[in-house]
Amino acid sequence: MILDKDNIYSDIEQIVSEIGTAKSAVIPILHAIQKKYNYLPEIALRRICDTTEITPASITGVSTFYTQFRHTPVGRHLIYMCNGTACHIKGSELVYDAFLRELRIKGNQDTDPEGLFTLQKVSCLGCCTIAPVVQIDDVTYGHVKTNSVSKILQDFISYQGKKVEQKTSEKKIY
Amino acid sequence: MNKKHLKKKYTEEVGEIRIGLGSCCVAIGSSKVQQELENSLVETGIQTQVKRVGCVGMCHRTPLLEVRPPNQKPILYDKVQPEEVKQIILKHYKPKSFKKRLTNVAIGFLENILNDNHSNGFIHHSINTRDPQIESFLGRQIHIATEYSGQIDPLSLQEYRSKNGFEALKQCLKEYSPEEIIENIKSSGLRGRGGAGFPTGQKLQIAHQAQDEKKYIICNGDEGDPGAFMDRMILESYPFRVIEGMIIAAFAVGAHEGFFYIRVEYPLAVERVKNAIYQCEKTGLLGENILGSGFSLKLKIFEGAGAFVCGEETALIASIEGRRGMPSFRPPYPAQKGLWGHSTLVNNCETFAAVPWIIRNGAQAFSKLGTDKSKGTKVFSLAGKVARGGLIEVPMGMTIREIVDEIGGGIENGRQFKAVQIGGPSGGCIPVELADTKVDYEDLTKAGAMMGSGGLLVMDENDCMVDIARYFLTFTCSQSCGKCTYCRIGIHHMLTILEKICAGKGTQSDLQKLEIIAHKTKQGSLCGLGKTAPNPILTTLTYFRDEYEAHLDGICPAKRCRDLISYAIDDSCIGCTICAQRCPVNAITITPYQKHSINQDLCTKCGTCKQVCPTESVVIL
Amino acid sequence: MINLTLNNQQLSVTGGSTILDAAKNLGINIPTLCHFNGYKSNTSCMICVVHELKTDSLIPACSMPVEEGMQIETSNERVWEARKDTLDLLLSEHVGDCEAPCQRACPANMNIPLMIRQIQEKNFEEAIITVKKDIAFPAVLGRICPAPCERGCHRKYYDNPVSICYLKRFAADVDLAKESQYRPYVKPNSGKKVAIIGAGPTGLSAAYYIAQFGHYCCIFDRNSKPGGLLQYEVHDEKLPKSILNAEIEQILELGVELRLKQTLGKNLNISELKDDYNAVVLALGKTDPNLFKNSEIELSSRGIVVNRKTYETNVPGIFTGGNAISEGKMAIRSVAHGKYIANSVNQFVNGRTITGHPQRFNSVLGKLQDGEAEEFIKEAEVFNRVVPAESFEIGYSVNESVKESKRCFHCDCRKPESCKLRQYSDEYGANQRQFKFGQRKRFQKNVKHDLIILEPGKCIKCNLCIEITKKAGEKLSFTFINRGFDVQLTVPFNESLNNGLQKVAKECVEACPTAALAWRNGEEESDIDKK
Repeated sequence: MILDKDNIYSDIEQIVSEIGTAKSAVIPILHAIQKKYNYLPEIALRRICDTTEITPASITGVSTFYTQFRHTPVGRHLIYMCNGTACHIKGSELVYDAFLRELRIKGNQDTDPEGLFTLQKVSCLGCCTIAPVVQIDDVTYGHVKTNSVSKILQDFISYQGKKVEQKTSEKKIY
Repeated sequence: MNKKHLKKKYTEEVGEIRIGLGSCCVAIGSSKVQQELENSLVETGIQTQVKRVGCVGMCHRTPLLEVRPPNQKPILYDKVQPEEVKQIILKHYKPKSFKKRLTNVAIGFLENILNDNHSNGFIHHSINTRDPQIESFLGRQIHIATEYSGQIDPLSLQEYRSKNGFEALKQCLKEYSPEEIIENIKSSGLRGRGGAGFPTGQKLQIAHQAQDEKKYIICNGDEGDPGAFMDRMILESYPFRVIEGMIIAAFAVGAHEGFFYIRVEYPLAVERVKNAIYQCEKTGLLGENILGSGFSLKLKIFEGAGAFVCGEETALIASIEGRRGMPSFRPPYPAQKGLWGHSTLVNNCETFAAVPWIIRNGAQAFSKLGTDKSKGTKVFSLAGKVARGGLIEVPMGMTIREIVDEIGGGIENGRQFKAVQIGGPSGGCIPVELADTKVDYEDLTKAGAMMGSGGLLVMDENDCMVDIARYFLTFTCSQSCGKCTYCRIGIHHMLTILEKICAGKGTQSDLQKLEIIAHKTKQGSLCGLGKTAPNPILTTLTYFRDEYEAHLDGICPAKRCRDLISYAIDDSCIGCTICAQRCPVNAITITPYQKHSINQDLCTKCGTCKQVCPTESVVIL
Repeated sequence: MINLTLNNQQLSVTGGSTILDAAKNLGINIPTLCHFNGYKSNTSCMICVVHELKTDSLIPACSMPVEEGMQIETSNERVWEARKDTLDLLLSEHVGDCEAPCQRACPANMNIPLMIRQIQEKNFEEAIITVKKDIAFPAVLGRICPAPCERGCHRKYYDNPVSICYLKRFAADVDLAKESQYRPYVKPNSGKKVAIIGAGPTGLSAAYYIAQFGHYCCIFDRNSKPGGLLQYEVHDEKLPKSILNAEIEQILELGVELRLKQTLGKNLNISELKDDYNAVVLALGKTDPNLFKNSEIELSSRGIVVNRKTYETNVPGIFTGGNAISEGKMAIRSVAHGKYIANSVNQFVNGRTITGHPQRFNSVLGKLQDGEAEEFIKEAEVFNRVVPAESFEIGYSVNESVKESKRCFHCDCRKPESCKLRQYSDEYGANQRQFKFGQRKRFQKNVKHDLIILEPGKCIKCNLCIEITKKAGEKLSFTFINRGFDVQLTVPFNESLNNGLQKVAKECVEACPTAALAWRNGEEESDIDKK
């Protein structure tokens, strides 16, 4: 995705026209920006301050308070490692480490060198009975073990492939 | 004949197949099963009704498929794999034509061969554990907030109405005054289901009496407890029920505008509530002049953005106002002065869900259930090392042991029941010795835990209590808003000490300081988060002090804390090299037919070898 | 009107007022940090808790409205303990030094950073005043002191410590070279007399300060020249006698009488001196125990037994210090003792309680972590230690000392007096080490403002500056970022402090209860109109 200033400005205009310009619109607006870019580009946040009643202090304070919001770009796919209590006692920590290893994510980074996957801990996905749980984009995997991590990634990638395949085959039929 | 009637007749003729589509179900593959089901029906030409239903509660056995053939006893299939769907249908239904029947047999045969090795490695479930509906799991439950659990389509307004849905609302709008409703709720003894258990009737009364021309109502669905999913299930499975409760409460206090505050992590709940609101608006159940009563209410959804502290009502309000979710000092309480300075009624979704039932069945029917001070039922998410986890609703006063043994089916894999963690980060660990504690607000608080939102996590002998305390403090430390001195700094310090203890570097003085800070943080914090955050420490210190002491000596009795354990291979090793091949750091040399050994310098204690060893020769020391 | 009891006093106050308001009506003081008149209380610091007896609970006075029948105690054991806990916790995340580490390391507790800033500004007259407030022999010590201050200096984490000792010597030498040297103000004669036995560094230093209090001082020494070890044991090459004698002369000029060849046990008798003088100081240097054989003065194997805080012996009115109490190698220690003795003597002869040197609360940053020296260097020049061009014997020239002084990190706090956190820490006896676990937060300095400095590590998250800048309509009003233990005060979008604080800098500095926001020039010049 190319983050061109004009594009962002027109996206922001769209978002603001849908959600509104009130101070209280800040969280819905941030959700919308993140949905668009997968993170919150600073230029977009500054633009919001220019075109709404939302102040720089408010947008900075709010966007750094809530854990959903990210200020740096992420990989193509997001892996949410559930860190809920049930997952914890069933060894999610070890699974998390296995993902780090498998994706060769080093140090303080959260994204693999290819920029394909970003690994993020989340407090609970609410699927406690099938712990440990991992969600990649919109696909959820339950009962994950450290030694099934690479299979999961393979499965996810092939699922992605299938999605594309499905779309093209659908086109062929109709 | 009307449409409703027609549909009923059709269902009688062809029966129906119900598929559970809660988040757990979807996560484990229900949507794949659903797709397969639809494909199979097209392929076989079998005529039946497919009905999606909300959470059945038996989350430990998802995906669930309930086949209800015409004039036959319903059969519930659990842990259904997509590739098994067709076989299941063919067991109960005959394909339409002989040709189709023949091809299906052939395909089924072929698929069976193909499927033998089809397991993809991470969802292993034997399919021979199937049995009819599990009596003991469901037997002792009483469904009030989760009425018609697993029976109705969450988004079918028609079906909801056919099961007395919105009858309570009609009754309230037509027959009752706000005061009467409040009186009714008061005498039912209903208390807030979000955690602290404030009497709901009293809260309604304060909001009702507030002199404010503008009032708001908020449904708190910001379930942040990292081991609980009641709110999610209720919103996903019973959106109309919660809406009905909210309209009644709004009518009682005189609010005309309201919000559903839902965690953004629950997209399915957001989607379903949105849809349900839309349907209600279209049918005159929401909006102007509801059911011709003259009463109006507008409901909107506000998606949270990831902050446990927003479960605290003043922080939740700050969040809706577009501020950082920091709690403020009470008084004034939101019921007096809340959202944008106006009187605001904030209740948990389970609380609202109970309201229509109370109106319909009478306060007496509700207060008959439960204990002296805790009336009615409570929804719990039962999870952890229990054989049958899921969403359950039980009468207050049931003991922990009854829940774990009778509903949960005891501990999985035959291990020892050690403790339950109840109430999540605000709650505490109750040891097996106190398993006969009654589940109600007072008794749990007495035991040092808390009802909380209703997370009930079962732990076995392999769970380290110090690690559990550390886990919860990691959570609360990351969730503290950072406003008041005690919560911001006290929790951080407690976590630092716990990390030290888990690493085997703790001292007696650390343990003493830990206890001191825990008490002071409990006393000095501004809001509930800080006041309850020390509970996991204080309860484990009370009931499992010996485990802390052992850690000071460098021993983790549950063999859980990574810095205090090591992996080894015992003499039963057959030298199969699987562990060596799978070890991610090459800490095991590939020596076929010889006993393997682990290089401790390289080992990262990831546990892979133990998982893959076919002879269970990997042991933790 | 609402009736309640406050510290056993009945009172009626208007509904809606807070307990803090009610207490103010009675003239009762309740400490506050996050509360500021004209702004809504943040209720975050929790220092203002009071005890409500009926519910037996601690409640924040700044926010709790009065209720009928409340029974409040604003200061009892429980309240006191809770306030101390609050302070201990706040201090455990407080990143910064009250006094600079060099000053804390100095036995005489000299305000070194102030002296250095005066040298930076070429204000040498003020510099010598700063020095002599605590050290009576700066030119001497500038030549022989092992400089423990430099071991404390944070600059060592960047390259080498600041040459504090040479700078002090420079300040003293400049003064000595002048025709009219600095002479401290001496109070009018009090009529009190103090005898000092021993004209070494301890005795002379004591005399210097006792004389300034207006008391008559007489020093007795067994030798024929004053100075003790400095006169007889230190090599002339290291310490030219001319320097020593010049500084002794400065002391005697204050009206101090010197009587030489007076030996204790021979022509000098303690009990007689005690009768003739209001107080006696035993500045004997290393003491022969036989001298006190039949005296009432208590001795130990190390020397005369002394109260280490007040420098009193077991006999009222007799004080001692320096090598007489235990042998030490540093002259600065003896010089420092002399100063502290003087304070105690002054209190004694005036009939006041002897408190000893008042120990103020000091927040301590401790060792610098990786990258922190880079924060400090923002306010200092990067070049390494200046080596005197002439020779070490001659010391720094004017330019050299000014240059060297610019290496100072300015570690000392900008609000050592007005910081409420320090005031309360003194009052409640807070202990910063009570809850010290793990690694502390990183030290940070934001100096991107002409007049203001922001040190986020000193912020107690009171929210006041955020409210003030918001109310004033600053375009980039302050905000908190992150949450929990990582909450930090900042200007949005990492903009400079200058851009953030355009209208209400003064208000923010005044409202800030700590030195998180302060004038860069500190309290010395806190008047914005001067700029």
